[in-house]
Amino acid sequence: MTLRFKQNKLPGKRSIYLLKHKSVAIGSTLIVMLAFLAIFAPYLTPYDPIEVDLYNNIQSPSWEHPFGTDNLGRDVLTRVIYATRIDILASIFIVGISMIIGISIGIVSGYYGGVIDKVLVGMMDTFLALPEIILALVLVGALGPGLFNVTLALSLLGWVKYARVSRGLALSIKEKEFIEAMKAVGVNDFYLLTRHIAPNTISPLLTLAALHLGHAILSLAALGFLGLGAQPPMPEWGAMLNEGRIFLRGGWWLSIFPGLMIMITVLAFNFIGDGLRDALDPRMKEVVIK
Amino acid sequence: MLEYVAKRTAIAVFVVFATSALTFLLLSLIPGDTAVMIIQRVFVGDVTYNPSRMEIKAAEEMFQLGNPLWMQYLHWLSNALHGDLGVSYISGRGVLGEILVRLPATVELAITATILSLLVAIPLGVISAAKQNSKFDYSSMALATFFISMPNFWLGLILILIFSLHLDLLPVSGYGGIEHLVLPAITLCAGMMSVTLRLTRSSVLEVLRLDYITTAKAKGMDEKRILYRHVLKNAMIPVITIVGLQLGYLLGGTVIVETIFAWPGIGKLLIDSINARDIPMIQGCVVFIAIVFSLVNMLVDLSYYFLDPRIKYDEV
Repeated sequence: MTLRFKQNKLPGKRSIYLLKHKSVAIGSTLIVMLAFLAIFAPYLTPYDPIEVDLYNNIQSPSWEHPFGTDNLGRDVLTRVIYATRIDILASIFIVGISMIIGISIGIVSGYYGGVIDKVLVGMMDTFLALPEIILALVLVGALGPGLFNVTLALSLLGWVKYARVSRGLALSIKEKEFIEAMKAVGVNDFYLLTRHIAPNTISPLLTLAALHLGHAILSLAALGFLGLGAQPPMPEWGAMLNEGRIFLRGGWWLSIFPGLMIMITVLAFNFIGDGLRDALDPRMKEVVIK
Repeated sequence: MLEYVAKRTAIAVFVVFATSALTFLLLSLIPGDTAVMIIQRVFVGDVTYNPSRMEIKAAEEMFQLGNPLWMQYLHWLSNALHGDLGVSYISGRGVLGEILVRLPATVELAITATILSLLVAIPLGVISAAKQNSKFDYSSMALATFFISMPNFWLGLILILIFSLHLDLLPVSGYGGIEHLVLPAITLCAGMMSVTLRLTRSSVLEVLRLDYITTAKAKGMDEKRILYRHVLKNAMIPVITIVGLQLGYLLGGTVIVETIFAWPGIGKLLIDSINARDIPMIQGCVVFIAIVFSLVNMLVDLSYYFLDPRIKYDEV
């Protein structure tokens, strides 16, 4: 026997309402544009992001190279566009993994309570007790530098906020009648947790996820800037800033444009996150502010 | 109250232990022969030196590298509890001494940035809330969103570009007089200022909605007096929490800001040790940061008791 209950989704009208929210609309437009850049990167630019062209190194912005060229003669605009792929994909990966880990831990903690809950909450407190970037630095220090390791480290560290919120949600959902009803007819815990409790935590966590996407890009780029993330010649915004830093005096465009792209992307995700928070649940404010 | 203090202290101590164990475990994953590294760097000072089997064995015994991991950890822990955090693989000097030498620079930077951010954020936040939905409110909120989304390493580079390279007003990097402090402090304070600004505004707005404020207004009290005498005190409680929590951001931020400006603090020490795989130094820095962070968080929690008598600790 399968029991099916309507899952908590944003109804159609609600999403139109959300898009009318000014900051959500601006943020979404920016993200659509960035996604366009990421997907069609090879068709948008005639240059290669990696191929070295030493005859044209450190040229200031011109019609041919709107963002100039870097110390190895590569077109900065091309590299910035290709980096969109890496940064956005990596941050989506980070947020996805964090959400899966966070929701699993959170709902198990809230649903079962007792000793399990105490242990898991203790774990959350320990992770919250240290700044994320410090833990990320240690993890990357242990794993070694590289885009994959940085992404992995940030994925393993981002779950705590999701766990805290979904634990609270699970605590209230488990008291609802439909859960009681299913327990009464003998539905097992695993089915209950994965099919009914987990889906109900997702929509309240969307705000958190949108803000986390921006935060993840900032952390990723920060580690790239410190030379621990993506390694040359891979085009990644933070790493590009790091490579361009030495040429600040003679070639400001090497570091200014990648930074601008980071800021636009983070701004877009923050707009969406703030808008969602205002529109969906004003009470989330306390949870989200970091 | 005493019970709460004891409980809170226990949690802080647990967190520091957990962090030190976790870091120790993670750092043991670093590939490479630690004994060879120690001989090359600490004893010989030549990375290409090829130590003999005897030397490796002697070094392993000296640093107890042959023991299982948990014994190594206990050894480290008992030394640490006696104030000995080990010896750097790179410089050969004591870890704790090195950290303490670097501490004043970081403290100077962090305190300046905090004061700067509060000086800007609190007045702007209060005025924004008092004049909600005015032009002033919108522009200060826009300012906050702008700075929250701006990567601090980018801001640092822009500031260097404008004030050091173009206008030639301030030094590019380094440590020294007040002119060296200006750019790093501004870079570090920007993000923190935005978060505090937003929180001050929303916290003041929340208090403004409460009944006793309506009563005060109904009594005909002066609006300014209400704001300064009655709203601010209550609105500042969450702000203090956030300033405490911001310490984490600050410690993370110093890593980047100190790297950009070649500021000789703990953040730069940590990055340099990670790049050099100086395990005892990384371990020492992380544990030190964990201690400072837990201590400040604890003090913030306890300060509630004095700030908000409505909170009863027996129920916590």
